[in-house]
Amino acid sequence: MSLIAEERRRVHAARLGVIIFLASEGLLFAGLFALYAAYRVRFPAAFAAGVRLDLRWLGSLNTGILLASSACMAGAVSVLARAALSPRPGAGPGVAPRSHAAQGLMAVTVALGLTFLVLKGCEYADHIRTGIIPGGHSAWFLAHPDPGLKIFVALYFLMTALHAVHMMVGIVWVGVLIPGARADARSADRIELGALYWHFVDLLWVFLWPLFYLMRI
Amino acid sequence: MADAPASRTVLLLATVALFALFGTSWWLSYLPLGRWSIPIALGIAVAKGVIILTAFMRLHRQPVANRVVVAVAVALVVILVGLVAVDAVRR
Repeated sequence: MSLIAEERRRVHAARLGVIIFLASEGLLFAGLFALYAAYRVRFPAAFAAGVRLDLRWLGSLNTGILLASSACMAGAVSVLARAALSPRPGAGPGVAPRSHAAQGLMAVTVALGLTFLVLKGCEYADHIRTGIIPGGHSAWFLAHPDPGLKIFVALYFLMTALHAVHMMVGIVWVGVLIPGARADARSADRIELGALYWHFVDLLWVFLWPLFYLMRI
Repeated sequence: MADAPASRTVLLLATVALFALFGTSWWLSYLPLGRWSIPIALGIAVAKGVIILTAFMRLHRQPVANRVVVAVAVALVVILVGLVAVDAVRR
C-alpha cells in the first residue's frame, strides 16, 4: 500500500472514531432531552416559571460567544487546509512553518470558551445565592414548593454542567493543539478532529439555550 | 491528507446566518407567541444545527461511513425524544 493510501486510511479511521464518539455523546444528551420533554409536558407551568428564573441576557450572550468561537475554529481549519494544499513557494522538505493565523484563531476560540465558562459560573453563583440549587433543600424551595420547579432546577444544573464539562474538555483539546498548528496536511487533519468536537459542543448548546432560557410560556 | 478547504465566503455566510437566526430566536422570545413559541424556538435551533453540521463540520464532505453514523445517531435521538414526548402528551 502506498504511503498516500496509508495516510488516507489513517485519517479516515481517526475521523470515523471521533464521529462515533460524538454520536455516543449525542445519545447521552438525548436521554436528558427526553427527560426534559417528558417533565415539560407534565409540569408546563413550573417549567415555564423555571425558564423565567434563568438570566436570558446571560444565556443569550453565552450563545453568541459559542457561535463566534465555532466560527473561529472553522476558520482555523480552513486556514490550515488552505496552507497544506498550497505551501509557500520555496518551502523545502522538513517541518512546516507554524500557521500564526490558525494559532490566533484557535487562541480566540479558547478565550471565548473560557469566557463562556466564567459567565456560566457567574450565573450558577447567582442561583446558588438565591437558594436555587439542585435537590431543592433551601428556603427558596420552601417558598416555592412546586415539585415541577425542583425537577426543572435539577435538570438545568445537570444538563448545563454536563455541557460545561464538555466545554472544559474542548478548551484543553484545542489549547493543546495550538502549538502544533503548522501549515501541513497532518496538522490540518489533527486540528480538524478537535474542531469537530468543538462544533459538537456548540451544537449541544444551540438546543440547550431555548430549553432553559427562551421557552418562557 | 487535508481536504479542500471550506471557502471563506461559505464560512462568512454561515456565521452571518447563525447570528441572524440567533437574533431572531432572541427577539421572538419576547413576543407573545403562545403555544407556537416552543416549536418556533426548536425549529430555529434545528436550522442552526444544520448550518453547523454542514458549513462548520462539513458533514457533506465526510466519507459515507461517517455520514451514516451521524444519520443513525440523529434518527435515534429523534426517535427517543419523540416517543417519550408523545407518550407523555397522550397519558
